[in-house]
Amino acid sequence: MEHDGGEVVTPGELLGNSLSLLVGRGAYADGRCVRASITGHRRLVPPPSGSTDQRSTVEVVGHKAHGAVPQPGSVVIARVTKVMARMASADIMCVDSKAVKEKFTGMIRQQDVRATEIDKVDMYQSYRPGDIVRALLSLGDARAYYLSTAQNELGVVSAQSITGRFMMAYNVLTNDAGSSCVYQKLCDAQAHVATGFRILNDVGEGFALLLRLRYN
Amino acid sequence: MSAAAAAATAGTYSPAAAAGEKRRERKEELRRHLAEDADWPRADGRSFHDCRPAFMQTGPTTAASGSAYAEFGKTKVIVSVFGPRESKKAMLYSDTGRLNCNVSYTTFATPIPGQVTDNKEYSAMLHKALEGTVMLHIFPKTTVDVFALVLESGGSDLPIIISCASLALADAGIMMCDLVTSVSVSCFGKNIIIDPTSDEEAWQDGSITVAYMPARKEITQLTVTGEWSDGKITNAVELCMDACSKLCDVLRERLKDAASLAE
Repeated sequence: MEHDGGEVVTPGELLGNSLSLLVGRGAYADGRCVRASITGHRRLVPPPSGSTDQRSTVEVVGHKAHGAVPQPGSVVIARVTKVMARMASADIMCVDSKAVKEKFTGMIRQQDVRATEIDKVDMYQSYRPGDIVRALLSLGDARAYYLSTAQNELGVVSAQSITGRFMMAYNVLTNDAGSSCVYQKLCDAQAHVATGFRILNDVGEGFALLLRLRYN
Repeated sequence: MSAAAAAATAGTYSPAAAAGEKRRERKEELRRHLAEDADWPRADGRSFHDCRPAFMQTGPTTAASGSAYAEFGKTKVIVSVFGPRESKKAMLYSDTGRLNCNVSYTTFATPIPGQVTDNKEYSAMLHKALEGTVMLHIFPKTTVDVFALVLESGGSDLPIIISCASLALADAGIMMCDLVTSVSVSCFGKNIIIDPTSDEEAWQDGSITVAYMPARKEITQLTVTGEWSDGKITNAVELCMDACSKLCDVLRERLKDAASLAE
């Protein structure tokens, strides 16, 4: 097996033979040749132990690559900018945990807010400008990317109240009635304990979570 | 004095007998060279198959994702690459990325301002030369903008723009199959001269521009103008391809320098 040379390679340079190497990031196969597609350091990753394929993976890393680009199927973090009756616009900030450098606009349509009862969705009660949303991306149309929050683990992950304080998610079922309630499509907090948000009771089906956002 | 007075009264004027002498002399000299089929010295002292020294650098434009500067003799070009970024709203939906190329000249690019005329097609040609190498499927629905600005036009502008743009794309970290370099040759009678200056371009019988991916050994663009015979075309294209490979080594060196400097 080859050693990690770490030498700098440039686009088009030969990295090895595809019979002995697997193609990783920053590399591509051109027939039998494996070539670099960006400038960076050549790195060999040994095959995971126990795998049948004994070829190591070659990748090009280290030097600057272009900023993250929204890919269909990626989970993005977006900030809601505008809420309308049938859709909400959001600026994409992160794609799969990588910050984007350029401005990309996403659109959450009414039918993409939650998985069930999609015709009863009220956009104004689902999102407010400034909310940080976790959403699934698809390519959408010529104008914008389509964002979908129709899954348990997708939805608002961070919000501020009108007074500007952070809000926490509580399930209204376990709380006293009569307080001011805000309906929002919230993200299932299990995956996001780190963000400081929690949902005391998951409704289960994960839709129309009736939640009260209380001042922190 | 009296002649002038006579001319004034006759309402006519006479050009100097020596008008165009310089031009004729130059033409005559060139014709002599062609007849002799000799290796005459070029204005800048190069031999026929010598390219101008290539000075290239990455990163002159800090606001861009990637940029490059190229200086070949008098020709000076700066290329900035932006993106991948969101396509303009007016554009149609597309599954793959887009490459948007634009070539412009500064007003002071030529000795006489406003002389640049027939370079409108350069943007399209730059696009054609580069689209084969950029992996557009990597960034669906987005656009990569390539803006080339010719600071000074000193001949072989398009090939230098293409080489410089490919360096800028690599600097921006855009995924590419290979670097593209381009070299042009001019034909004078039986002679082929490489990397012509603007004077030589003005006198040429024909020209060939080759954009080439040296590692993959593929030509991305071939432009032939003027009169060429079969044997000479093959020879000229091979000459260009060899020059492209050597120019590509310069580009790779620059990229490696920049990569090791960044650490």
